[in-house]
Amino acid sequence: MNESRDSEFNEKRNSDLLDKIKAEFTELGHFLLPRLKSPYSLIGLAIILIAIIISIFPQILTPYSYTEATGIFPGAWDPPSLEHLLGQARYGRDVLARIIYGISDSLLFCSLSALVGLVGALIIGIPINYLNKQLNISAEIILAPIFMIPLPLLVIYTFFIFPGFFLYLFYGIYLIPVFTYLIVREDLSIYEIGKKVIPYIPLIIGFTILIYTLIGFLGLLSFSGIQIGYDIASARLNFIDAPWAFVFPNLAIIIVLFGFFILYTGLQQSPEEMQELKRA
Amino acid sequence: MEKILKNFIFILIFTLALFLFALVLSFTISRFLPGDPALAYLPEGPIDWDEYEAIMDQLGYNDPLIIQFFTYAFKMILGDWGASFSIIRGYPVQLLVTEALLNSLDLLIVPLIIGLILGVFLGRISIKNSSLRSNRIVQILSLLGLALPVFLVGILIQFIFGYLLPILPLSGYKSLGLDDPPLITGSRIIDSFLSGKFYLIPDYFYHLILPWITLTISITIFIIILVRVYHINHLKPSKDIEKDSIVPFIFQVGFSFGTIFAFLMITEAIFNLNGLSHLLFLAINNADYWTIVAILYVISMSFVLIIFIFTILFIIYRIYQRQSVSKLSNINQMDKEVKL
Repeated sequence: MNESRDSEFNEKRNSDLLDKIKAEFTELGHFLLPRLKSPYSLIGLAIILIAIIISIFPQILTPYSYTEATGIFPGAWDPPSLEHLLGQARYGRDVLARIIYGISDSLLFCSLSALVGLVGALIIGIPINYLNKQLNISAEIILAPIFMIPLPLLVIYTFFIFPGFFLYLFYGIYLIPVFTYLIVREDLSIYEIGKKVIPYIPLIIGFTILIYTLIGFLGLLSFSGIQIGYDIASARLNFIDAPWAFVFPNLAIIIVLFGFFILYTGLQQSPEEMQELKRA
Repeated sequence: MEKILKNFIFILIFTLALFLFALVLSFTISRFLPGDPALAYLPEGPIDWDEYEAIMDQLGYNDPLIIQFFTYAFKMILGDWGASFSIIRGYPVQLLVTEALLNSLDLLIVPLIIGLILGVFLGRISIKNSSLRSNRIVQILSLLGLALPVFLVGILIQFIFGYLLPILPLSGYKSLGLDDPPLITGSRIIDSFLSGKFYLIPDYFYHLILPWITLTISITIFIIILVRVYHINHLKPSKDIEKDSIVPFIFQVGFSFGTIFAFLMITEAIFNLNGLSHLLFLAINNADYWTIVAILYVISMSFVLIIFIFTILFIIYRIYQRQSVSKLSNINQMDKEVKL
């Protein structure tokens, strides 16, 4: 009889817990939905969605495959034409194809990094949150050693040791303290943590794309894929003769980054602020 | 007084722990770097393997790992950073790195100060009355500014002021025909002053104008975003200590030094300036082992120093905050008593 009472109690506790989790997700949905409807969020989402669709279906905009975008062809630095809408870059490569595949690589790389960062932050952030509240130690002090690993050191380390694309794991490790910092000050609930972290995800991905492009510009990425920063660096030397090879990749990166940053701004706006904006 | 002493001891212990962590980190990385530590000490030509083994023994590379770590730690702390293998063969790395570091500091200090001041000022303007239509424009412009990669800013500035309107030099740190000051401290400005070659100083600053502008713009935009993220509405301590956003902002500026260092690297690359990152790329491309090790150490220690400084600021601010808040509550209490 005690056993059946125990199992009844456990069942009730589990169903209470499930109800609580469900309620928190619903509350989180109520928090995010009005913010997703803000004009800034809609513009940001549209830009990001277009970038994702083009990354998955590049043939919408370019007839050239990934292999063709990394080959060697005649017509290096040639201006835009019917065959090459945005012109040609080094080794005769199509600028538009390089942009599309470069953006696709950046999105994949940086999203994976953000995911690694977020998962890592949840694993270590929750104990730090507990320490922060129980021992009243500042979160900044606890996180300092992790923040201390500077990105340039990390890049050099991975440049030498690991195949280029696994760099995303290390970028993700670098993002762990950033996400952890957001988690440690909040109450430990799905709603509170989600409310804090989710609006920052576009900002963090945007910054990661920016840093990834900067690192590519410096030539520190060792994998043989397409990297927009690297393309911009090589086009820079021919800026006067072939400005299209420099300008268009820069424009593409700016638009994608703008999409992420404006989505971040939209998610930060409360419904009251949106009402005031409409009235203004 | 006791509390201040306690806080100070805490800062010292914390910095020491960070320092040890930085040492372990840079030691670990140094063991995976390309290049060979003994090559810088061997004569040019075919390698005498007996001599090579003797040098590796002398450098401690055949010792147990823990002994290697302590040897590494003592050498780094005492400044015995070895000799360059390929950049300038046999040249002390300490001199190479010191000169590059001072050049990087010349490039960084002015934009950092201006960027912090401008960034906080503009950031606070952009979040005040954020509902007004005009501030929507400011918001969107600041987002566009953030989306502009720093190399684009630098290259555009180079193109406009160095090529279209050739009023400033495109790159480098000195005009053609000018010599270098004798090496005394490693700092171009100080060495020019000490050696009496004062004409080198204005020319140096003239070459730094475009890089300074580039770095200032990038740092300003970055700080504006930080200010907006932390919603710094005031610079005085608030009554609600929990919601006070100055402390996380101060720390975030310190912790964001990695990003600011990345901006510095890009600026040095664009304007071909002989700073720390330029030396690092040279060392990487030429597998100059000791130079890479030394630069890693210097970067790690710089971050420890930065965090030490920001921790001091944090403690000072917390003390100032508590005193201000307790004064405020004393005043409120007196008001209540008067009313009663």
